[in-house]
Amino acid sequence: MTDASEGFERQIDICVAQIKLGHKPAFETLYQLAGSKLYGLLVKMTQDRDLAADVLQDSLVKIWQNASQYRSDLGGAWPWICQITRNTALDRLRQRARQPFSLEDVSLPEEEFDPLFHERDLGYCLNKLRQEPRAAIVQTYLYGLSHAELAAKWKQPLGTLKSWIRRGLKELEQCLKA
Amino acid sequence: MSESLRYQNEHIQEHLASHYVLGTQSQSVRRRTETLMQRYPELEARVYAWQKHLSQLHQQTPEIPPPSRVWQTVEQQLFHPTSSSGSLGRWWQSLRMWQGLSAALLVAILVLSVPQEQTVRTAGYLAVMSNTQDTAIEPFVLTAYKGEKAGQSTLHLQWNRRQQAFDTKGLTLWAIHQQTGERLELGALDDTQGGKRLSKEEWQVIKNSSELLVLNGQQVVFRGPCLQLGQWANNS
Repeated sequence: MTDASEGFERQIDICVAQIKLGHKPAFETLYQLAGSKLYGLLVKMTQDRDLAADVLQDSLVKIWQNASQYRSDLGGAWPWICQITRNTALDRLRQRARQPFSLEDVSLPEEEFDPLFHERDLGYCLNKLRQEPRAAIVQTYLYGLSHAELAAKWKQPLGTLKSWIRRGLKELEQCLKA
Repeated sequence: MSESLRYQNEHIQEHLASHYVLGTQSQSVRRRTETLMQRYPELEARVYAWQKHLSQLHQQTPEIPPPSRVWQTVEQQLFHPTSSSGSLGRWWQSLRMWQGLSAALLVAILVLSVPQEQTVRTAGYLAVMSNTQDTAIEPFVLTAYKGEKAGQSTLHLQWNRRQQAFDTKGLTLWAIHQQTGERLELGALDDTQGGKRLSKEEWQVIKNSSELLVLNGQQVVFRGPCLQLGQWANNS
């Protein structure tokens, strides 16, 4: 992790600690710090700017209302915020029954996954995976795709796709714990 | 295998946690996983670990400024609910207020009815908290007492008698880990007035800390080294 991203995540930790106390200015600071990042990830996930804005609104409300459930002893606040935001987006995407073929840039990449990660662990472990499980995990996470959506997009049997993801996660877990 | 044993299984927990964070679970399975997280703390810890790993994938996602309507709507919804959200909302708020008052009364009755401990206990950890900006402001003391069992330890704020107590609302307490230098949150300073009960994890945070900090927003306003105290010498 770079100093910049570490600094960003520390600022988010401090904001969320304040938000747990109902501190509104800290909530505004959180929005100023993280709003563009969250909107960026939601636009990528939903491929729809209006929907992304709606999801961001709902997510911010949930962050404010559920801040007391955040466990600072278990992990940082930024991953927790990402999870709330992604879960909110997933709920909306599943309700809308997105057409899998609307995601033009979700293809089965043939090249090695290029880890530009600053945290070496994840990039390193992803590169240890075979190409298909690696791409399936990364694209499922970034685009919020279901197994069925990705299977249809890549024209692969559903069972094969599930197996790639299940084995990929298992190998990733083993590598990250090593 | 019983449900309890099933969900205590490390492999099942890891499977649930990884798929929960990846987002491949159906909505109902996700809800179920969230319920299980409340029941099985190890599962919740695994979810946090996967969140930490996979959230790094967002580092390369380009930032896009959200439309201004987002914050306006959130602010309106949370902080300026309109009258159109109406009488039901006001009724709910008043109900919550009465619930809150009833709960506070119940807590007060319980506190007053529980026999107070008479024995003298030695503080386990102590930090004299000095103001970082104005040395004329008298320091105050934070003392942590180890309980008989995990979860019974307490943290107390004690004012210097020469000093007028100030308003601690909005201030937060943090600890610096003595090995990693990591800053870990311990909640509102205000909670320590009259004694804050510490969870097992919070006690560990204090135990492993080199220093305690008090923050106002993002600014450190008080800090003091965290001292581990020995037992009283028996001179009798």
